[in-house]
Amino acid sequence: MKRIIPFVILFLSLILQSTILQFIKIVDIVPNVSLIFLIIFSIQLGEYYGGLLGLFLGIITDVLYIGFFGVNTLIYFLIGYFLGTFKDNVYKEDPLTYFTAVGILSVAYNILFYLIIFFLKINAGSFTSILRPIIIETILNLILLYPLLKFEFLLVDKLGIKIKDY
Amino acid sequence: MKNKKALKRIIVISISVILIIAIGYTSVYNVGTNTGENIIGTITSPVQKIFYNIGRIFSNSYESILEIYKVREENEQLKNRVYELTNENRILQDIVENQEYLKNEYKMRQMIEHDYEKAQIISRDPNNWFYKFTIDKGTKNGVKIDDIIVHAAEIEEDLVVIGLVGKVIDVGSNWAKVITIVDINSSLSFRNIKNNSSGILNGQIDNTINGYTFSKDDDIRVGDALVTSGLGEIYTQNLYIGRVSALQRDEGLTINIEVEPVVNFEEIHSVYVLKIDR
Repeated sequence: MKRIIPFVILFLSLILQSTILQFIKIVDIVPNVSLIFLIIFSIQLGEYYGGLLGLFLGIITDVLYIGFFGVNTLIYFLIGYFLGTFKDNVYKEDPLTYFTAVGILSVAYNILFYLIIFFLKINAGSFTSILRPIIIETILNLILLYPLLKFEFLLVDKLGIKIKDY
Repeated sequence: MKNKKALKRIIVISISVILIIAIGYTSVYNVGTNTGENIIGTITSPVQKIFYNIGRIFSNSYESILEIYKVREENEQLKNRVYELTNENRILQDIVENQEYLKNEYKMRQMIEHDYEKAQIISRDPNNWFYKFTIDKGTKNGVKIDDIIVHAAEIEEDLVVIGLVGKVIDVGSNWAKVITIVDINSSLSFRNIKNNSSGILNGQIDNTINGYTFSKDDDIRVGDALVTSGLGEIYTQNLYIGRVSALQRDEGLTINIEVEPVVNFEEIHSVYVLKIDR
């Protein structure tokens, strides 16, 4: 039962991102809440769960919102898996770990996305034109990370989940 | 232990390869809606609708508190505008009635009528890359792929189209995905109302529309109104797109233009689906 909680949280965060968060956009940019949660869970739960959660989140995003399949699935899967391999080598209680990961991966996600749709010959504009949205999104993600992390720690505490359980 | 690591690596690489193939395949061939997609969409559609409406209620009440003082003033202005437009309309009607060929043209434009369906937006793209949204009507309500989405007002059982929004690209039983004309995947051909010259418009990453004219000698100016030309077989003729906001003549064979769409895509929450028989 406890094992599906991360999946539920990812799903809800994606739904919120496409509905309520659309009304509180800052300069037309939505923060990527589901990516933040994916990063948190991957660091805590390791590559097996990270990869699985990445696949799940990616498939839902692609099916619900993107006209063709696979872009988000691929990027989220790789992020979840490779971040998970660092599980035993990072301080999981230190917020700085998460800040570093979110900072780097928010940029990496968007650059990978740009590269893929560039090779699909979708006219995404020049590289300079996408810098502004990427920078704003990364800043928003970093701002939102701290409250979300606190929420996640609290949830883990309240439910008495041991990370070993996974 | 070593074997396990190698196995893991093989699994990760093969999943990635499969996904890359899937991206390539589904982006080139339109595979349509499969069962899995339909089921996920059908289950999440009501959930999204609830959350979207919660968001809308909050932002509406916040905005109406801010705008409560402006309403009276705006009402006065709108009344005056209606008088002005009625007057202008009467003069134009007079001119049209007195010219036989204009009368025919006027009748022809009025005759274009389609079955329509009101739909509510239930979610928007969670990423900042595309500009798509989902509506709460699907095959159950007779919505098909390539149906046209417009922003419109229903006045006395008559649909007055305000502006073009986009088209349906994917449809399930109670949902449909809509691609807007400011999405980077979108392109359409336009006609200049003033002199019937035409060209192509493309959506941009920063949610604006850019495009070019077919000929560099076109007499196109800032402020010209553009409508769909009907070429390309998806958008029907004479749907209002927007006005030219900037243009740039350079050495090439075309004039580059920037268009400000008449529809504010951030502020619309319900749209109309025009059901086109093709």
